[in-house]
Amino acid sequence: MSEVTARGDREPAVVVQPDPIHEAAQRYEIIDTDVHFLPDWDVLRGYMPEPFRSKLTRYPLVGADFSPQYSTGIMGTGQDVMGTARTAQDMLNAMDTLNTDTVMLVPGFQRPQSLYHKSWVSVLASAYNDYLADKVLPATDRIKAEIMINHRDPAAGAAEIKRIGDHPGFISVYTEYGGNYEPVGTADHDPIFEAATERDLAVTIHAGCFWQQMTPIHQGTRTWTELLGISSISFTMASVGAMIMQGLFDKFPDLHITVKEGGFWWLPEFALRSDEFYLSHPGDVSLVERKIEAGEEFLNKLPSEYLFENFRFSSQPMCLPKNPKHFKMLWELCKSEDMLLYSSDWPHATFDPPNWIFENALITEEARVKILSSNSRAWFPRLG
Amino acid sequence: MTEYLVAKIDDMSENSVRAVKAGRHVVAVYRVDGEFYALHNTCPHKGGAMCDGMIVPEKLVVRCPWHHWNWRLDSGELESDPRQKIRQFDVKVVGDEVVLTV
Repeated sequence: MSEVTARGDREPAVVVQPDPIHEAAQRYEIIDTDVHFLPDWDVLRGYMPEPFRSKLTRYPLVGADFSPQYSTGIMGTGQDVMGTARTAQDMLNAMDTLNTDTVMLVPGFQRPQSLYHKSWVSVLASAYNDYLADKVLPATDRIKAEIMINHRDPAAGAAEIKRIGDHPGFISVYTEYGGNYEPVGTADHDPIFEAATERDLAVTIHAGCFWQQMTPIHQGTRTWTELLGISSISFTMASVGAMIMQGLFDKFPDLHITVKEGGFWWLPEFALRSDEFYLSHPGDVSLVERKIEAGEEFLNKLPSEYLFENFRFSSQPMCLPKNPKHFKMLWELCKSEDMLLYSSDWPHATFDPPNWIFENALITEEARVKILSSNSRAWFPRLG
Repeated sequence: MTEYLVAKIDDMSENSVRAVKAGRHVVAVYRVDGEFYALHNTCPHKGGAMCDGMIVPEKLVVRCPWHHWNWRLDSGELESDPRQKIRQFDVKVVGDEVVLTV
């Protein structure tokens, strides 16, 4: 209660500390599939071999000066407005605040993965994975992780999956994509997909390292909305298109690809257009590496079938149309209750709590459970 | 309409906020440069708690802690798109008390 005393007809107002997370979150199991984890750099250095341990004395910088600081006034990796988790206990504290049962950790540093020095990326990935296996995953069953790899060096990426991929705390493989690097759907990356499928591990493609180095798109870009808000979707579509059209899922039919922070409402356009376009222009599929290798002429299925069978999408950022009728149409067209895996993107400035799942009357009880937990359990077998 | 006593004036320091339950609403009451302002505590965007937002006195806005939407304290307008508004409430000083009307 406030300290003031009521006079006349006035009532004393009760001072409160509101919890902005919807109260329904306490009643559901919540698996958050995209939570960023940023170990202390000096801790990671302790897991690196020489000469990297001595030479790499800080998180490496990169060339281009695209930063959210100009649009939001926030500086720093990932715009950690909600806090920073550097240890298992940091993460558990945040999870309790958010009523989250289980998290999938995603590397909280995107910049180093765009480094020209491929060896640095491999070393950093191994150090990150080793730190998780050593200090974070043993601390609790509530924290799961993705294996960070150097996807720009597919042999090294596959080697890292083989090295640490049998650890039960790692439930997926993490890659990033962007305009400064070819889509990971090309056949050059098959060693990564082979190593992942051998271990029943999904592979994530996460919007990330495309803003730190100059690309033709960047030269015409001036704002953070263009870059992170819009360009990330086009890069996502290019990566998904490469995977589908270059026969990835005919070679690895059971491969699960999780798209994180890649947008979602574009699925109807992609599905309709790729089916239409492919059926009218199928002839060049026989020229892609995997089809040459298999001696096949066409895809085994329509592009849209791969899209809805081999992909799932993290839910954040959920951009809701104001008109419920429009939301219902999009929801159905995107097969949303089966395709979405809840994610918050904690602690970034694009943080998305689960409130929208509880507050929208068009989302059924069954759909809530699927998006918040059961879709993830089905998608990542090691979640059990 | 009901009047609620939020605080004694001196109980709220400059550039501070107090979240209060007033009827069925939770209202964030701000003191900025000697003036009092009251906004609904729930950000219309995604529900961030405005009482946890950063007050920017020089712009007379409060910044939602989740996604940094800047809401004007004096009009409830969104800084980057004034067509969008957060609900405002009447707040005044009566004697040495801060009085909120909901």
